[in-house]
Amino acid sequence: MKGRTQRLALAGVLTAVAAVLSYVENLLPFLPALPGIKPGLANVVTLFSLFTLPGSVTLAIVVCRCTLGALMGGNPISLAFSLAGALAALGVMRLLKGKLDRWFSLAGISVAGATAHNIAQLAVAALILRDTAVFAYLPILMISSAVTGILTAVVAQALLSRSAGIPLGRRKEKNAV
Amino acid sequence: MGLIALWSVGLERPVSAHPMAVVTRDGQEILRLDLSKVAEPQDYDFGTNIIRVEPGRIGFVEADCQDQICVRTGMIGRAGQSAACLPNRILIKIEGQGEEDVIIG
Repeated sequence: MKGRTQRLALAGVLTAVAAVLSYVENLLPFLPALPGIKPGLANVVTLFSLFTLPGSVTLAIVVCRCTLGALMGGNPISLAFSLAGALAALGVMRLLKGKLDRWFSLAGISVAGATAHNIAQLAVAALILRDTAVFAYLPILMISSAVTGILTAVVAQALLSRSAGIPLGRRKEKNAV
Repeated sequence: MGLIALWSVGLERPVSAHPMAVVTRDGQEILRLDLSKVAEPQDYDFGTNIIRVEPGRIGFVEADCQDQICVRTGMIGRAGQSAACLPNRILIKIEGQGEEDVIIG
C-alpha cells in the first residue's frame, strides 16, 4: 500500500506541475510569424510519467492537466483542442515506449509525440472550421515539433536520470521487492 | 531542409496579383474579396468577430472570446495563409490566383 500512496502523491505533484507549465506557456508572447507554436513544456511531465508511473495514472495526469488548464482560462473549444493534442501525443509515445533503445531514443519518442500532438490539433481545427486550409501549417508545425520534441526530451532525460535513485513507486522496484 | 523547401513552396508563394480572401463560418462562405481591389480600410462586423480589410491584407481585429488568438495572428495577405477563430468557427483564408480564378461573365 505504501507504493500506491507514493504513486498517488507523485501523480498529484506531476498534475500540478503540468498544469502550471501549461499555464505559464500561455503567458509567453504570441509570435504572429509562428502561429500556434509552443514549447510543449507539459510534455516533459507526460514523458517523465510514462517512464515512472503506470499507463492509467499517466492518462489521468494528462486528462486532469488539460481540464485544469481549461478551467484556468480556456473554453470548451480549447479543452477539446488540448485534450486531442495531449491524448494523441500520449497514445503515440505509449506505443513507441516499448521500442526505447532498440529503435527510438527518448528524443525520438518525444518528437513523435509532439508531431502527433500537432496533427491531432490541426485535425480538430479542420473539423471545427469545416475546412482543410489549416493543414497548410503542417510543415512548419512538423519542424517545430522536431525542435520542441528534442528540448522536452532533454529535460525529461535529466529528470529521469536524476530521480533514478529516488523510490517513486516505480513498477520495476515494486516487482523487485 | 526538404521540409523547409516544401514549406516555402506551400506557404510563402509569391504575392499573388489577386489574392482572394475567403471568410467562412461553419464552412459556409460569408465574405469573398479580391484584396488587390481594396482601396480603403473597411471593417466587417460579424457579431462575434470584426474583420478588417485593408489594401492587400485582411485580419481579425476584434473577437468576443478570451484567448484572442485570431486577433493576435495579425493581418494576412499571402496565398495559403489563414487565420481562424475556433470558438466562433470563423476562418479567413487567402486563395491564390490559380485556384479560384473563375470569371463568371
